[in-house]
Amino acid sequence: MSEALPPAASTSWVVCPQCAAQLPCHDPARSRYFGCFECRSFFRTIPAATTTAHRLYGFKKALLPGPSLPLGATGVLGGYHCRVTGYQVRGEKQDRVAEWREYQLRPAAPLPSPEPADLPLQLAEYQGHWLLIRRAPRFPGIRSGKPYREKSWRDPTTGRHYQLWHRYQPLVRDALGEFDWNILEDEKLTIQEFTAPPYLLSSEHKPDERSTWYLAEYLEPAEVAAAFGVAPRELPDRVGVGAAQPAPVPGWPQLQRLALVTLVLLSLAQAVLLGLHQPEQLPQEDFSVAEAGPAATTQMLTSKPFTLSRATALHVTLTAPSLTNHWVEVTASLVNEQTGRGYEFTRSLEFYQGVEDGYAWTEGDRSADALLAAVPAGRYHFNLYPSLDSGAGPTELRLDTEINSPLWSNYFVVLGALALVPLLGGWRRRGFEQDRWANSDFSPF
Amino acid sequence: MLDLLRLYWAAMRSWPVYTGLAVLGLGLFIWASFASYRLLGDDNESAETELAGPGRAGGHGGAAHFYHK
Repeated sequence: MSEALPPAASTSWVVCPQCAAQLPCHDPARSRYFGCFECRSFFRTIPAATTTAHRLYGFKKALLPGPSLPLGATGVLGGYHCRVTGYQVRGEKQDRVAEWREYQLRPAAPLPSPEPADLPLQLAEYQGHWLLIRRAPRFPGIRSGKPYREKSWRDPTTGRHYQLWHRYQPLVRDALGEFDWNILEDEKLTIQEFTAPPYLLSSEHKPDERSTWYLAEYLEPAEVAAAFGVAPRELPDRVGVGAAQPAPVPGWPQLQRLALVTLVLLSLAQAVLLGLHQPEQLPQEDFSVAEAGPAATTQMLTSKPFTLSRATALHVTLTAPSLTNHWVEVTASLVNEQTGRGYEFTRSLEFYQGVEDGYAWTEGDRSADALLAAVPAGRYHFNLYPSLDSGAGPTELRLDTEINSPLWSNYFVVLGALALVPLLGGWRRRGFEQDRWANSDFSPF
Repeated sequence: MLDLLRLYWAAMRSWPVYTGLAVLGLGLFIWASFASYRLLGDDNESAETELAGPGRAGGHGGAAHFYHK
């Protein structure tokens, strides 16, 4: 919006001392300072009194885009029926680029006396991110006249952990409407903001005075639009991540807690199962593989039989300890002697070594292993069908079998699957938080 | 202790899908461990109904080799 919106119905009028424009005053009992929407003068006067108005300042020009909420508009926010009575554009002394808009809200309906402690309300908008600001019910206890100097604060009542987000001195760049304090005096303030999304705790400190604390809560633009009956497209588009914008994974602490308990239970189950099913090593068996040739192509080696009392996993290791510069391929078949069911795997063992340019080298492995899972109870033996490289000569082949082998892969598969959701959530949150803190001088990243 | 249980009950209600996944995952893990079943498959290369022995030419039909003694 490029110009101020027309004022809503008002209860009183004041006259600008600079251009004589008549300005509406919705809260004549409190409002003493006014920003003229015709000539941008800022002046002090008492509505409905014969006192002369004093011009205090003249803003150079209207700053774009102007107020997104019309002055005088009413809506329900923060549990109050309130009216937009003042609008300011603010910036920072240390940063000429940063600029945000603040809307003063006054009750549009009579309130019980004394006024609720969380009033007055303000709305602030920065890069399309909205905050509803009210007086803070709790804040850090500090000695009078001293600013709070810590970089974080934990609210003992809510457990919220506020982290220092920003320190700055404000500048007022434009003002329209009515105010019950001299907003130009705010340029003497030092403001600190502490974030704990969706909340932002801020302190305003004037030298030798007690700090005033405010608590802001993040509002979705749609909430603001709905509260004041404005079309959402008329509000500024959101840019980046707001200081108090909630992270995209709601309930993150609960998910962390749940994932931790699940992973502890899983590890506990694995420990118990390891204790229940102790691995057992069968006696090692050695075979002699005949030299390659027509006779060797049909050779079969058979292990001693063994019995499995329950369904189990077998870890089988084949080793050719004397194999050098040759290979042997072994097809191993675990045979159930009662049913004829076979469990088969093939492994190649090859081992080469030599010396080249004075350096010794080796390649390959003299042993290979395999895991046969869910082998039912029964009496079994192994049939081994080796094929030996020509010229290798008779070669020793060793068979090692472990029953009740622990299935660590199951543990890691389930662990990975259950950790996936928290990891993805954490990754999204981390990216979001990094974007948020990119706008702060106190980033923990 | 009761507070802790309340905390986890609230967490489970906040994340019902993850809670279901966790129960399913733990159940699957315990079942697979008792059945010695490997979730990612094992090194067995034979088909479910195959009898013992490699099926290559000139091979050794498994049933014929039971009487190894």
